[in-house]
Amino acid sequence: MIEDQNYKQKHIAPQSYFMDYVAGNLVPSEHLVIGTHIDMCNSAQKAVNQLYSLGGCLLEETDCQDVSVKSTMMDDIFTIIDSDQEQPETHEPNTLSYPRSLKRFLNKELENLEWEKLMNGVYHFPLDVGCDHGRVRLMMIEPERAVPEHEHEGTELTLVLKGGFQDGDAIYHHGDIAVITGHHQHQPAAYGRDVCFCLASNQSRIKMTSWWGRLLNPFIDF
Amino acid sequence: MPFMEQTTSKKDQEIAEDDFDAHLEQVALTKNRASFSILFSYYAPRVKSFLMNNKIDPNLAEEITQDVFLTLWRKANLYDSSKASASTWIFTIARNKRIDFIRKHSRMSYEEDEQLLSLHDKSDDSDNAFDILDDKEKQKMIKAALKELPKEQSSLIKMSFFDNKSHSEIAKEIQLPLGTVKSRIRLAMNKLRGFIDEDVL
Repeated sequence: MIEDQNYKQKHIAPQSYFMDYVAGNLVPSEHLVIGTHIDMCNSAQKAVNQLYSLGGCLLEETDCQDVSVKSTMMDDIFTIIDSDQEQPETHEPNTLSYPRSLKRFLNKELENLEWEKLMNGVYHFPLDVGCDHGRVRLMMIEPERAVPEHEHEGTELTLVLKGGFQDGDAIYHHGDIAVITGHHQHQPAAYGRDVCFCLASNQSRIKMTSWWGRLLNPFIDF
Repeated sequence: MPFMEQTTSKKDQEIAEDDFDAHLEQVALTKNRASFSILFSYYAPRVKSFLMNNKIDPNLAEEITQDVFLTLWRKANLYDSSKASASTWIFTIARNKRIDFIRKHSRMSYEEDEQLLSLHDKSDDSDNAFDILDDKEKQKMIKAALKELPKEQSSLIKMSFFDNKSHSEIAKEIQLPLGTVKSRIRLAMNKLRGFIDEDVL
């Protein structure tokens, strides 16, 4: 996953996603995709750092004239820290090559995951982010394969982890993100000779729109 | 743990009351409780107010505020004043705690220490003057820019960024079309920034 590190991403998430990420307003599935995108994309990282600075400014300027904390809180805190035990590091460091945000959800490298087959050449691996609202999963598309044309009711975020994909005229590479909202039909296909690995979130069930996709629709929870 | 000798050291007296970055550094380096108290007195009401603005009930906001400052104490060793100002750092902790609170019923908690570590990592390949300034300089510029903004624009930023309101909620509240709200926020952010490549955001 470290390959392509010098690639300068061309498809960056809209600013509103970074604001919502820093403000903590994204649902967990989108939070994971945007967080991973930020890990992989230098420009996004810069934008986000700036928003943290803005957050600090706004915190400093918060009107707190009518707000006070209970007078014993600081003593309570000192009581708690006095009883703090030195905690030895118990968990083994995770050495997988995923971006930071994604790492803790996985215990194997991409190639070794137990992929579920969706159709020929297209596989997925659902991730559990502990939330029923929307879903997030890894996708694997083999070279020269495509996901059947489909449309969405909600928002789909697709981040390239490895390889690349093409959707219409747009080509997405390492760290690029495709943001598709509302009723929009599309058919992403693997680009180039490599297997394409993506991280994708959906806020609603996807509907197949091509005739054979429609045939598959009742059978595949895509 | 008894009070440490450092609390009365000469170095301690040299730090201005409002030099919060230096106080946070003292907490990091020497577990200095006097510095911690100064940070607490200034930021605790602000953190609580921030949480209450985010529709968190006052009692819970109080509880979370305590948690924020416990984390500040425990993770202070990760603080690097060359990367972030105290206010940015404390904002980040409060933001993480708020996310944790919202996800309380889920099994996932936020990995705040890693987040704090990576905060404001400087990249070497920067061709943008803004990026090589440290966070304190950035904040100065942002504050100045905030003051320059017309009131309706700065309040839009606060609403969307700080009061946890979605763009459509804001549109409803101020009775403007969603598209207008979105473009005004964008305009305001652009003015606020003015230093990032247009194609970035």
